[in-house]
Amino acid sequence: MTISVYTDAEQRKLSRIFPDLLRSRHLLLDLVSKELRARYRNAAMGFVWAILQPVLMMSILTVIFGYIAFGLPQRGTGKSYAIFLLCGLVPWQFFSSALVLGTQSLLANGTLIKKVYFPREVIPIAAVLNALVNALIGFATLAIVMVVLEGVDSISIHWLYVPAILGIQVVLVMGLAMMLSAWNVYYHDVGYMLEVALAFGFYASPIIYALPNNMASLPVSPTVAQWLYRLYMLNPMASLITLYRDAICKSVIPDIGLFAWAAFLAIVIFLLGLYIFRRHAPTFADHL
Amino acid sequence: MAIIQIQNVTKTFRLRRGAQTLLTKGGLRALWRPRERLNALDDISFEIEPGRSVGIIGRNGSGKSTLLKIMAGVTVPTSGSVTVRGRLVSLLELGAGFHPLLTGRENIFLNGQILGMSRAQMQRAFDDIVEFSGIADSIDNPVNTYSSGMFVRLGFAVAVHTNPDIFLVDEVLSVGDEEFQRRCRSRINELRQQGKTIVFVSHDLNIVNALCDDVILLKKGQIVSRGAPRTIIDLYLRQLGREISAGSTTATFYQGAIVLAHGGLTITQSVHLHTQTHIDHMWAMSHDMQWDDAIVEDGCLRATGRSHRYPYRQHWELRPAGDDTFVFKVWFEAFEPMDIQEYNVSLGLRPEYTFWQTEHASGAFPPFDPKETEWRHVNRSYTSARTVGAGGENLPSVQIEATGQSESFRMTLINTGYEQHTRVLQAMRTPDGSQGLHFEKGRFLWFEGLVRVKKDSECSGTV
Repeated sequence: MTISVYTDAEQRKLSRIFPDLLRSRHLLLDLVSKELRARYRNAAMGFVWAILQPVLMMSILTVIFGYIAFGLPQRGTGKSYAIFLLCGLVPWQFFSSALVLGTQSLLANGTLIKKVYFPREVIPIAAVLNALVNALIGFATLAIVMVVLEGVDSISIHWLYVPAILGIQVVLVMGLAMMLSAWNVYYHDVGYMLEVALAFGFYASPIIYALPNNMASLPVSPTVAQWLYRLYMLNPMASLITLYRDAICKSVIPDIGLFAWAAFLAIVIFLLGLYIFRRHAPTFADHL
Repeated sequence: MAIIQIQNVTKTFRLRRGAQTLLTKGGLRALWRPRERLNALDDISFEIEPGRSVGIIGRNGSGKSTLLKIMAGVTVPTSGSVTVRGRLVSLLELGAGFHPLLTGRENIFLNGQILGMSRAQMQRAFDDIVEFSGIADSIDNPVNTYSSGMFVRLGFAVAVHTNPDIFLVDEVLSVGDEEFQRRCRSRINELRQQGKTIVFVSHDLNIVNALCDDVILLKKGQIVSRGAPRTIIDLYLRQLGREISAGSTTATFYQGAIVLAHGGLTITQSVHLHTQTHIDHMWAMSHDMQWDDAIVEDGCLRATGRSHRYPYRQHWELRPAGDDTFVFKVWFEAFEPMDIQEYNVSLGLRPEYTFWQTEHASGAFPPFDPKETEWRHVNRSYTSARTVGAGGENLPSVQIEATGQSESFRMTLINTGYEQHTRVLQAMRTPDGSQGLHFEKGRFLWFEGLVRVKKDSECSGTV
């Protein structure tokens, strides 16, 4: 027989998170698969959109930044710039769509949360996993684009690092999604702020340009440049996109220091997100 | 051991600060002031034994829904603890977890998992769910193509087939069509017989009365009383409504119905003393109208109710006229010219009332047929009459007498359906011709009559 005890302290215990999640893993998978099926059900082209979206974005940005716009460093020629761009774009789209979906997820499932008890973590995590499925399609698309533009040889063994980097990104995004979705329940301002932050983040991350390593080209003293670089690297997507590029575009072993830094940042944010979420989760229903 | 144990539960809400508060209540400084607090539940303790069905009643804001949410684990108490021994499913707003774009089939599995069932368990229950919900034909259509009735049916079917030990029921029985409501109620009765524990929250006191062993009355987050349904419901009605008395008979107004009690014993039930109006082939009951708080002035009770659907109001007046007798007047106020097929004043009585009498005939009420869901006329009188009365063993006799009007009424007697289990005395005003009753804009006296309650149970002695 299941005995449930509901007290304020009990429900907010961090140690309960993992058993709770373990018990609801099937629910989690079901939520993800149903959401995916539902998302494309009423679209005539269905899943094709998951491929088409990053490709179209890439085409637009390649035309703008590759042919028309400014002399950004290391942008390369048309073809290689397109791949370079897609390499940053696919992880960024995963990041931004997971955060947008994740942040809104608790509000979107408000009626459910108000009526039924289940571990609330399931909701933002399902949203992130949803975005992850699209990201996987995005990476597959990237590989196909590389083969089409530069031949089969352009796919190197270093692709094997991609799952590890993606793993770090998933941990990071889950942490952020839990944090933001919890705050968004209390203040919907969070959702609006996120949109602005993502618009800024797109340019503050090395997507359309390469990582300005050590900022040497800036007209400031080396010390200031060093600090600017550190500040820039506080953006977790900066290191992640650079790692992806190392593995996919440059076909080299990703920078181990950068890798460690990204992993550290992701784990800290994940634990923080989990802590914040669990502290607020028991009373979400009162605020939705 | 108690299946649900509530110990010293207090739930405090801090009122939220939105832009609205900032704009209206002292601007940004409001951010530094502590937020206002509201105790929805105030140190409540009680236990529910396995196999009992317990009703929770109380006004809006008395903490009923909060209590139910805490039992369901949807939210946690600010202090105190809730212990639930067994699996619990809440029928709060059915189909809450349905995804509109997914098919009924997909939603059954998803909803089952949300309610804590495994896929295999749902697979086994699947056929029963489809059968019970009666939507086998559309099971593979997206649920956003379903009617609201189908939606609720499917939600209910999934919930009851997850085989929990405890059900929380919140106003569910007021949705869907009549047929579905009947099935719901009989299903809940089945669950009771299977020894499931059921907790009800409802405004519908008839359902609470019919389905509960035990009722808890809440007021401002505290338990006022707990006991047998009729005792607690009477207490609640007395607390709620306005009350006047004539001799040892009291009349209490409660949202479009008047409850009569004689010497502390409530003799009316279900619909109590009320009116019904037949417009556009639909019966509108007075308790579905929007009623102002009744007022008692000079020993006279007055109330005004407005129809939600049609442009009219009703004004009621109940005045004591000697021992155990009231004068009941009903005015109809049309805001524009209206056509009405017929209307009546009816009195719902306890099932222990066994015989009836009008000035033309008399007889015994037949027993209630368990299969009957509709109201059934006991007498077929098409001649106008002025009085109708009923009596029963150890019960005071009750009589309605139409007075002071030239219009004729037909006095009829009715057995309600099995679930309601109520005898009804009815003074029915029907049109003289076939074209219905036409009312111009204005206020009309619809009914004036006496409601008499007498101690002796000899019906013949009173009529």
